[in-house]
Amino acid sequence: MKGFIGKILIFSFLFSFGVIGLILSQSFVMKRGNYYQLPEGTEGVILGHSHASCAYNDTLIHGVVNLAEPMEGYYYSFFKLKQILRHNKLKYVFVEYSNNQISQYADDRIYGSYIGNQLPKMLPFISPRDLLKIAIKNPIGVAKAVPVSLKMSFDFLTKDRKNYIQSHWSNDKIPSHILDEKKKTIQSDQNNAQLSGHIKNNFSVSDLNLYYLAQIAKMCKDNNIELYFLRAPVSKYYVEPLEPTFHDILAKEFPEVQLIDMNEFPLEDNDYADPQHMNLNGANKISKFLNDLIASSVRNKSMSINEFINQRL
Amino acid sequence: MLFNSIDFAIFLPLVFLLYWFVFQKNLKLQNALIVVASYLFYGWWDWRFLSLILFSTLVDYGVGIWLSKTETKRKRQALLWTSILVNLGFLGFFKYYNFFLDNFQEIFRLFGMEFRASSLEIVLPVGISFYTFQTLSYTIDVYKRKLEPTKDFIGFAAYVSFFPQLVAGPIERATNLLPQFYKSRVFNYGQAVDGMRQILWGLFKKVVIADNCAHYSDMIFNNHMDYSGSTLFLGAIFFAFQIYGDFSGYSDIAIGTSRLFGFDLKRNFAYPYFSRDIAEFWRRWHISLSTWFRDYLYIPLGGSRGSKFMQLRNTFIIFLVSGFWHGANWTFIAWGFVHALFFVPLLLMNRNRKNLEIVAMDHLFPKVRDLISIGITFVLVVLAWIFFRAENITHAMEYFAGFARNPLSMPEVRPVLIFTFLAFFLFIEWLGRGEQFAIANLTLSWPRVFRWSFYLIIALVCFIFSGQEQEFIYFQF
Repeated sequence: MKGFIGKILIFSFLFSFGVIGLILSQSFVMKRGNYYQLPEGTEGVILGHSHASCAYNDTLIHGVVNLAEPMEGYYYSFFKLKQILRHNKLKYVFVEYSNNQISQYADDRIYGSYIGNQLPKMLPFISPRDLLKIAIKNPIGVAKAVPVSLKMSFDFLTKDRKNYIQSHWSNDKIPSHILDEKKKTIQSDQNNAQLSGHIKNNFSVSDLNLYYLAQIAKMCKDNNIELYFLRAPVSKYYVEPLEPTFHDILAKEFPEVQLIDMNEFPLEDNDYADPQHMNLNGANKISKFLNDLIASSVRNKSMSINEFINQRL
Repeated sequence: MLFNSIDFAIFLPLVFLLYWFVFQKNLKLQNALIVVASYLFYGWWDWRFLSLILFSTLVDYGVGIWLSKTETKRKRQALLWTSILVNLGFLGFFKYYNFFLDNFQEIFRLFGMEFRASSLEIVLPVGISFYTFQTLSYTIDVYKRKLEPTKDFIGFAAYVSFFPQLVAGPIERATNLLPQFYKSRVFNYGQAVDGMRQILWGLFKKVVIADNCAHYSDMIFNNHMDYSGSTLFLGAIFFAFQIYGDFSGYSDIAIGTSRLFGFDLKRNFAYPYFSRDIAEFWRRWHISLSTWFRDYLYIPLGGSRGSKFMQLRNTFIIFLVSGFWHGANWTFIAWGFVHALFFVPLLLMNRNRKNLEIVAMDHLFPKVRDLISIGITFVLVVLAWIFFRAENITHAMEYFAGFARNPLSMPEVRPVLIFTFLAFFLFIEWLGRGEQFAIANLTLSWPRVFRWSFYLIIALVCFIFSGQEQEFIYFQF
């Protein structure tokens, strides 16, 4: 019996060693490969989760690529940006800073039940120390993501091998459908009002997500990149409950970062796909506005962002 | 709980350690642990249906005890029918109720009558066909006085619910498995190592072969109108390997796991795709079910005795019932019927027991004649699988009709990696075709470093190239 268990343990050790070796090799190959070129003329990128991925149609925003993806926490945005900066020179980074990004709910999306959404495609770029932070919280989730990630990298290297950004980080998810009739009254729906109370009662401030937002800010500073926060319009029921805390954290933790707040942007119900997300109509309106704002207040600085917003809204 | 899940990877070592280190000295406690572990294993999926297993266990245990005390033929028959009605009643209700209802309604409609009854939203309990047949074998064997009824309830409950084979077999006979619960078990190093090897090979079959083939077979079967005839045929081949890898992989893991606990289960597959005719295929495919039907249905019907007509009748009955056992859908019945048709010529020519030995035994390569026979048999089996995989008969017919679309063109789907895995898989299976499982003796003569490297590579391939985690197909039966 002892011999049997001893051999099982040795085999398990060798197997783990093999898996770690594969992860390290994957990281080595994927990090160094030349698969992360942004389109020529790109000056900035947008990072964030579904609010941003739905709200900004980057074909209408000159020099900016929208790399936001649904469910993406700042943890993953940080490593995405880090990898992009290895291969590209950027002038600006726009990070979507929305109300639900400041809550622990956003932490849970990094390592909780949605871990399988982002971790497999980001794993090669995450350092072992940072990986440990989420492995402690959800070891099974990380263990399940490892083979998916290895297979993903294997497929990319053997079949595609062109541009990882296009194949794995591209934003092509702006919904074209219109908010359905039942949800049409996004500003007065009783269910939304109940949600508002729920958000307020279940709120606690994020640790992990905000830590990595600070890391993004530091990385931008170290690389002389201008960092802006963006907030896309959502129903007031998602905004109001956390509004004071939202601004407190912004003022206290990120005093140097300017918020481009489009929450007051005049929109119709048929600009929404649901109370939290723009559809293509809404995205086009917002994107044209953002394009003009970048042209006059970011790229040229002919007027301040607040002046531009006050003048146009 | 799935064998290819992290839950099972935690569950198995825990039960193993408790079994051999904590309860090692007490047989009753070991058996009780098996019952608890098995109920936990099953309840992980849906604890509500544990009551069915428990009820079935109580009924058959009670019937066994009463049979031992009753000598009157009529009473013994009544007890046997009680067990059959309870077990098949559960099976009939959960698996076939809606099927019969829908078909009755159709028949009434054909005659212009209205038969109103609404179908029920019934969840099919995982593995009900397997444990039902297993418990039935106990009662029938006790009734036939082939087996002494057990008085050990815990041992009997462990036999009915034994977790390695509870949900998808092999369907164990009471005569083989039940006595193993009475004997004290001693850890056997060789048996355990052999079990681990079989688990490893079963995992490879399931997660690498079956789950990856599933991706392509699903894609082709679900969009069959969009593909050429050659791709449709390839899709059917993918399904053939999916179902073989899935089911025989499950059986390997089940048998291997049982060996870790000192049990020997029956072999369920013996390289069926190397069969030279359909009769040989059925001696090598899902052996525990085929032999169950042979012993409890075919032989009582008269078997191969009597006139050719009787033989044909019995053959069709057993194939149709076997098809229907798989599911409440006409597609399964059609699958059984097609196999019966393939079998008939062999029966009429008395060639159904021709290929009893292992193909090309003691040779590396088969004779050309054998190779052609294997190829033809494989194609027939693949064509029959189309009925098995199809959603309904119309789907199957459309699939067959699709063969006429550019049958000789290059298939649109060409997954090189899957072809590589299949080639490796077939090569290893061919080398090991004389063994209980393909890698049973394959590496034993190799130096340790090569042997361990081989196992390690298989394990890593399973880890990396596992397709999307899928339930075992036979869970639905």
